[in-house]
Amino acid sequence: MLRNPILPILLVALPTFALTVPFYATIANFQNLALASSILLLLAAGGAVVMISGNIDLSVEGTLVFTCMVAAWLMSDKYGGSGLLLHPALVIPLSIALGAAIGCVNGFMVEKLGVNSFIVTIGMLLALKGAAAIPTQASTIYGLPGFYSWVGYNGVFGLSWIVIIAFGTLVLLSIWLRNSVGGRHIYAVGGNRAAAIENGVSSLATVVRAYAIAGGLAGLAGWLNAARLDSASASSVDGITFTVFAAMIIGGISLTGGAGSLWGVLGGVILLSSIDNVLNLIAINPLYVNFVRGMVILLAVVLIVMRQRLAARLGLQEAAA
Amino acid sequence: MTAPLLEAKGISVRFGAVSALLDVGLRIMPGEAVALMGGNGAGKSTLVSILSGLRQPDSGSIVIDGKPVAFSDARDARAAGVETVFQNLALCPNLDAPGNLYLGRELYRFRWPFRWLDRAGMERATRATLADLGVTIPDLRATSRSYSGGQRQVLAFARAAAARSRLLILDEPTAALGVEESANVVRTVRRLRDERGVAVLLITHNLEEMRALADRAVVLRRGRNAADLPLDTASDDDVVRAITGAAGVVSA
Repeated sequence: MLRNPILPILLVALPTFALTVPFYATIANFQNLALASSILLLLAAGGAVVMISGNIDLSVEGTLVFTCMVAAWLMSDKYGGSGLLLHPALVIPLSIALGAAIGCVNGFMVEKLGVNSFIVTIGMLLALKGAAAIPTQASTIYGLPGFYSWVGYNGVFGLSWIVIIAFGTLVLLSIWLRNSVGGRHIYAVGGNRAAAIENGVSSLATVVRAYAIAGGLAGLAGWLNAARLDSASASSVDGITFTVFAAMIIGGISLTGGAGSLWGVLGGVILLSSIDNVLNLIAINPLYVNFVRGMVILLAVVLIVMRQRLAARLGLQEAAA
Repeated sequence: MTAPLLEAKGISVRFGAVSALLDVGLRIMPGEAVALMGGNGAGKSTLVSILSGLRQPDSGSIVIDGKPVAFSDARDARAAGVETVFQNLALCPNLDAPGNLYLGRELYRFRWPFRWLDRAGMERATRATLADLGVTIPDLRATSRSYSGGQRQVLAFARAAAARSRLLILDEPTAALGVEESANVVRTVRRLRDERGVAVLLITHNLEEMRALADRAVVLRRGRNAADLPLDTASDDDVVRAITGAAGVVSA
């Protein structure tokens, strides 16, 4: 319980919501909640991998909209589309690969050229959000091919394929991060970069890999998001960067690197999505929404610090990576 | 005469206009223990970083067992049998003992498409290595953040010793340790020499430690070779004079 504060927070918050908020604990609402969480989950999981490596990736929102606008442009002949009408079976892997390639560029600039990751990725965020509007002259592309948006309209056992893909990706990535040599190196470089290098770990390969994962997941999220909306727009996820970081921090990912797990991130995503969902259900004045979210983030951060003090006092140790 | 284990020749490194190392040579025979001495800025650390593969010299060559080698990273140096215990100990605070011991050379099982950590294997081998060295770490699965200074030192030593290295480079191994822990280090290094014939390059400021562990002192001064003194004949004063530059170049 002391390892990660998100679990006790959820254990208190979710039953409270279920008991006090009408319609919160209904299957339809959980389906809605899971769907709304999926995009955030993919972005936060990728961002967390980069943060565990000791860096920051502010660019995932930009990567998402850029890859999804390029994908829509390649597939469409209306609303400023290219008219190439490429098949989604080609475009989907292409847009994930494009996201991973953008991540590689980020990682290379950070680790090889030694530019501060905050600067690199905030520049990349602005550049990509700008570039996303260029192919279609800022117009939204509607009516994507049925093959492309099929995942948004189908599912099994009442779960959308979007949710299954996002959650499945989280599970696989989490297993890889904890149990593979590559994942171990991400923790090592984030824990003590100099020591990792002195032991023959390639910090360049490790950091580029972390950013490529974040970029690839952003590309994947771009597809799922456009499939869900059956449209692609350069402003479809405006401002999600803040929520992504809130989810990571609440989920226990250390800002200094080397610590945290993707399950914590899942917890952070569930909490933030639930709060948005609850504010929606109780029809709160939209003016208060950001204030409430901000207070929740502050509260969670205070709890994290208190937990660390308490753990230090009790002589508890963090679990090994 | 046997061939040297390691011979570095004409090593030069420049940082801008400053020569950190100028035409430096170093020869270590198999099983020999050499102390690398010198004041601050003499170039000891730069030479260590070259021999452990962290930095590439601007010119010069390294020959191991008669074969020229080029280290492009720490992995290459390890592969050639050169293990370094860095002054900072090079431990990741968020990894446990086996994680640190096998950092950069993790034991793994390949299951397509990834290499999966063999945690049980690494833990077993870590236990064996520590037992072999006659040292203990109470909780192997605790992160190294929670270890005492002595335990960290033990772990860093165990890592270098576990690898069947032929040359052990020790960068100020006792600088941060108490009396008892320092004595432990000296004992462990002697054992590694006696039992495995490991050659040692010891970087130190401490004359007592030099006497305790080394057969020969190589002195650097302002990035150049200043002296090469066999310690059975040279006095502490000789070494100090070479370090401070009170004597000219002395050759054994």
